[in-house]
Amino acid sequence: MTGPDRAALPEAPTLELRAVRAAYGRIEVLRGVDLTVGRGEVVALLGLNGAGKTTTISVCCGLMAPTAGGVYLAGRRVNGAAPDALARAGVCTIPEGRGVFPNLTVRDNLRMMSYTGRPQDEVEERAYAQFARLAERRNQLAGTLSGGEQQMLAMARALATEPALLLADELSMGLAPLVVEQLYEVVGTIAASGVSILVVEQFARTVLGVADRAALMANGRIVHTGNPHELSDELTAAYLGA
Amino acid sequence: MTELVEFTVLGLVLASVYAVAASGLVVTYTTSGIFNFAHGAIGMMSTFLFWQFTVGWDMHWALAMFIILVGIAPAFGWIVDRVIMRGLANTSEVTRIVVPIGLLFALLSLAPLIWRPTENRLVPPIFGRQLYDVLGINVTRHQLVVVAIAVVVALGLRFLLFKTRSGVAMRAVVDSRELTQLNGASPGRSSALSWALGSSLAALAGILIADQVGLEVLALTLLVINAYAAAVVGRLTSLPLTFLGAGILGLAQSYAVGFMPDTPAWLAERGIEASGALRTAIPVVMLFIVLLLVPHAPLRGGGIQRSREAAVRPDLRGSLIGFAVVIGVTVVLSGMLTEANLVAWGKGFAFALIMLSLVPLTGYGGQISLAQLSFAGIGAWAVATWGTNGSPLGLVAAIVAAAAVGAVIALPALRLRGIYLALATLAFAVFMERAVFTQQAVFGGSKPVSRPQFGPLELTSNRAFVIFMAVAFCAVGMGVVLLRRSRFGRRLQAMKDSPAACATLGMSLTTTKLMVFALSAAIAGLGGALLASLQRLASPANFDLLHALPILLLAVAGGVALVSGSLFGGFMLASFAIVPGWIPEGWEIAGFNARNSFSNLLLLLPAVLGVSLAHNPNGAAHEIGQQVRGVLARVRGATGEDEPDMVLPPRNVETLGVDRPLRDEDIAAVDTLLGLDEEVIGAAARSR
Amino acid sequence: MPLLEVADVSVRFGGHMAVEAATLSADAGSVTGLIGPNGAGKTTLFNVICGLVSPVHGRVRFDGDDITGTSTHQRARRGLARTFQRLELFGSLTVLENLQVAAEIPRRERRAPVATRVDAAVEQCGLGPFLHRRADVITTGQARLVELARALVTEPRMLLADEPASGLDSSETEHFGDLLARLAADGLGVLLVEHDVSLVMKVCSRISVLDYGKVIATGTPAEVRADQRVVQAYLGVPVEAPT
Repeated sequence: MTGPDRAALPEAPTLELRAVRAAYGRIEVLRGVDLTVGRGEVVALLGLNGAGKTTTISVCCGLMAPTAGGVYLAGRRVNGAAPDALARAGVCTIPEGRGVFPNLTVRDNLRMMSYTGRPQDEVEERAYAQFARLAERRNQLAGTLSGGEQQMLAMARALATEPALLLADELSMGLAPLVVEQLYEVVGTIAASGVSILVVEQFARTVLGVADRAALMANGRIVHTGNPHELSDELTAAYLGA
Repeated sequence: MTELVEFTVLGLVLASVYAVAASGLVVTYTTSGIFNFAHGAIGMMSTFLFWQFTVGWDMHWALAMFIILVGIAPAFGWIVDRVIMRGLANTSEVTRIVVPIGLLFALLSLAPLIWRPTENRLVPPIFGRQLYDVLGINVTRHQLVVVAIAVVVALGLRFLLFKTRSGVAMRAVVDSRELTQLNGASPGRSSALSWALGSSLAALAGILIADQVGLEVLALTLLVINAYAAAVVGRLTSLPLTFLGAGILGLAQSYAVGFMPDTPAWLAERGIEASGALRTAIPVVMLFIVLLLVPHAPLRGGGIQRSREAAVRPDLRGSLIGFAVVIGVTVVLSGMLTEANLVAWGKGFAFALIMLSLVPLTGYGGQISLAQLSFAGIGAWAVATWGTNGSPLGLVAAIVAAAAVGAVIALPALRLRGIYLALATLAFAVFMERAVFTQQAVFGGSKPVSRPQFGPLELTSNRAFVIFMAVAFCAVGMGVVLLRRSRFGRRLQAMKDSPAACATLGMSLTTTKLMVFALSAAIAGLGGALLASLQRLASPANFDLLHALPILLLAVAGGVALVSGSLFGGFMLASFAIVPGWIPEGWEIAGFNARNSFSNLLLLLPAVLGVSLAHNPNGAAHEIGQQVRGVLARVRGATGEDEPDMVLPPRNVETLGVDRPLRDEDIAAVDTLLGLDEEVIGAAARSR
Repeated sequence: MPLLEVADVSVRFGGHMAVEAATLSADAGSVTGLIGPNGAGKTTLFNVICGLVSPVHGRVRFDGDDITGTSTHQRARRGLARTFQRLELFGSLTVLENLQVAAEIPRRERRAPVATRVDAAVEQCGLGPFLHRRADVITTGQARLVELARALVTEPRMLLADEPASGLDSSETEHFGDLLARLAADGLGVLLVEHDVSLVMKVCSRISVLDYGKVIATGTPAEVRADQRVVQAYLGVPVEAPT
């Protein structure tokens, strides 16, 4: 089945947030977020702790319903859609702090990825081709992998399931810089295959190399959008209050 | 030596059945987060069905087993999860515990409606009595097959959970529900699958043990309660440990039968049958001990979670008027009712008092207890023992004894929360029923009770005593209303809302819990004492688990935070004894005695109300109150005060431009639109 | 001697070291800041200090006494109070009742009557306009003030404030900062975890910076701002760090 206005949609950006508000109980965290990720575009979302970056990701992937505003995927409003439905529709989300099941083996983690519709063999093949280390440890529990390996396993989902949109939250958290660099190489590879990407980072400079555009978030709003290199200078001031 | 081997084999057979039952419980609990109290009842129903198929309709046992284990039981589990249990999201722990108990009670009341208990039924050992020689002792083929089946279940579960994608998804839900969803799997489906699997295992356990236990509703249901201990050894999550727990439990029970010494004479002379009591109580004693070894759950700040339950502050003037009406109506009506109906009216107050004991404990303090009727039993025993010749000391003794036992039993249970606390109180209740109340030295079958006398005030007539009960209920009810407005009431409410904040402000949660447990037990004790006095008889039959379940169900269904809720529940329970009497004796509908059938049907009501909590967690009294308030407001022509007691987090269901959840076609549409087809991805790549 | 001392504290969650050999102190009569990137272990350290999490190693001392093994409510009775990042108000009670519950918790020492302490906190934090509303329907800004007031009625000597400005707008944040500064001037010790760095720089006399569970810098706001390691921790310039 195709939507009635399909003809009008190819121009619609992969992801668009329009005046999105969201709250935990009474604590309003998003206060009108407008953000666009175009087809094949890589957008970096930067900001301090508590600015609302992770909440923005949660709203995009369906884990949280916005209290107001709209979340649009390819021009269709998807507020309130279940996260698993969105995942099958091609939204791949790597949540903050290791997107792996610690008590499942590497292979079982990969097997879970086949719920997006890709055959299991294909998922495994692609994942092992990119990360040979995972193939060596396929029968090991994911929780016993090193932080970097866990993050690779999480990234394998973005590689192997061919999503339309990748949402990645703080890939570099708690990882050594060398590992972070490797991860961002993978992000670059995924971007080159045409996937639209929204990547959240606190460690600003690592992400600027792969981003087409950067947005700075503060207090539940996007306060600045632009060329990542322009934004770079504003970051020091924003982070350290100088 | 031969004896030891014999009892070991018997123990292993029992352990196998426990293992099958307990593994079903664990699978359901870990994946869906709901402890299925109805597990045993599902097994019981399935066993009756099996009898119906094989004996009743002469079906081959293998076909019957196939239909039940692969068809009916899993379908039932699936439906229960989809229709009832999924509604439990965002409800309080109490509701999540009470709803499955409602289901348990529903099945318990339904079974005798279908299979008349007067009929004698036998399930022969399915796999025959043919004897084999194992290690020098005779073992029946049935016993061998039962053990083999447990091994097959263990291997089968292992295969399912580790080698199939659906099984992996069930384990993934345990690790992280959210991440499971982000992988595109539906946790709802996993949870329904776990219910289907759990029900099937319950059915298997029931069918396997039926030849030993007999086809009896309660015995079959309670058998699985024994398996709780095995599941708790596995902390409700680990299957290998659950099997280990089942092994220990089965062997312990078997050895107890074989080798436990008889009760020493000096105890037996005093009417205490210690060793028999202990034998039957081993599973619950083990459950209690294992629960005490469960590691302490750390207090974590969870942020404010707005649950769907309302917390209403009782209105003082309204309560006073309400109590005056209750006493007034009782005084007037008691002059008009027949003696039988008068006693039923009085029972309403006794039940209401016992339910009232849950208001401070559960309604205000957020603690759960399945043992309130046991405290009532202690009250009944105390009034029978010390209230001789109308001494009012009997009532005092009932209150004190129940409070003391309540505090003592609360002490080890204080560190437990939620489902573990529920199980610990259940273990205590079953222990009291099996090992204490049955003792010759305690009730001695049943004990006569004389009604209390207060100086010149005679309460010998039913009418006088029922009015006295109304006054007693209203006095305690007023106390509970005032409690909510007092310092201690505020503390209880605070403890329910945020234990972490209470602790960081310097409140000792231990002391607070101990006090509320004692207070609640005291109220229940008074209720039990008044019930016994009304009947002039204290009998353990009033205080068993079968009677405890509707008390809890109706208390919560009536509204566990409200005094009016317990009055509603108490009278509903009491009315079950009267209403069927309005049907003329001897009426038959489709060959069934109308009066008996109707009274059985009535028992379904608490179950239905309990189950309905999944959809309306605030209880009936709250609902009625809301309706009345709404009508009054409309009559006054004004909207009521802005009462923000139940606000659901707004959840926009505007999906794809329509107000309904996503359907498969929608997903397919988004699939295409998002460019999962090569064409669009390719185009996007080129445009870069 | 500092009022609160955390010495060499480590916390492990499974295989992950949430806090590693952290040492810091806070004095009475001043606001001490504790900052660091997401996941650095700030809230975990707070939980260790107030006894909600036990450390695998290290000691917590309060007023010279070792309180490492004591329970949460015992620590509170010594004068240690806290607020929560994700608000922990008693939602089914009114704002006034929230304060009363806290004020009524018995203590060994003699204190002013409940009503006096409650009135003082209501006055100090400006709760008057919403005193009789239920705590689960007030705004975040109001709720943060109620949590602060609820801690104050216990007459603490040290207050642990966990991200009190999160969810507040800029004028509310400023107001909250002034309030903390005034309380400190009256003798209260405050340990402040906050991601609004401008607030921290304004009200704190000393700041500790936590990264990867370790304290990487301690000093005055000016010193911390100039510290290269801090800049690196925040901006992700390559720096030695464990995996």
